[in-house]
Amino acid sequence: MAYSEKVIDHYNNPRNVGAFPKDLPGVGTGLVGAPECGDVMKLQIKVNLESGVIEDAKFKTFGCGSAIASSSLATEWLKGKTVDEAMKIKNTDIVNELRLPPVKIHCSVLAEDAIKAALTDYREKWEKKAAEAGAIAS
Amino acid sequence: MGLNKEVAIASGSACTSATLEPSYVIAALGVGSELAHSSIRFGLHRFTTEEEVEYVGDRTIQVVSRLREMSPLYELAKEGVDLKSIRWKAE
Repeated sequence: MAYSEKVIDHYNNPRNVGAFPKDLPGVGTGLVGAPECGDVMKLQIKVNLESGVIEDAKFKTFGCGSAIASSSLATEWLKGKTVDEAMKIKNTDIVNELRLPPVKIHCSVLAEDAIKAALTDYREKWEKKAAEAGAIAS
Repeated sequence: MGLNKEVAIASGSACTSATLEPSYVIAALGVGSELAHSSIRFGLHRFTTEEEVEYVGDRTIQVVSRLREMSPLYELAKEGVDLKSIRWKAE
């Protein structure tokens, strides 16, 4: 089984590796997977609280080349999207883009889980706060 | 992936080479899943030279260091978190 050129590219030149400081406003963090399964992904988004647009994303992944590529690609796709638009990203989009073979499809599923976990975490931490602040102000 | 253009290596054991499963031998040693999944098999034979071993050792250090910078588990370990205490949400 050969890795596709895009997977190799993401492995050699991963996009957006890193982490945001935990208390930075507008950051949502998703941590999914398990060491027993061999794949763990941490995906973070930084949302512009006024516009609701994801202005930055970072990832860290423990796993195979396909897992690294899936999460790297996810951070590329998330930038510039609103939270609602980002919720529509499907693992099958990742599979098609990276040409993942059947045995590596679970990597794309985990990346989709990581995206949704980060978006949900952001909503719970920041959208609710903004709504509460608005409610208190009004 | 970082070494496979230069070195004959594999994950898992020869007997599990057709699957993604880690070596059951390593698993039986009770080392834990992170180590079992990160194990690498280096093949040496009678023509392998000391220079080649040194070279592969250095390259392995480079690749592992790079992968650690990309790993959330290493990040947690550096923060002093006991990885065994984490309750993972597996898929």
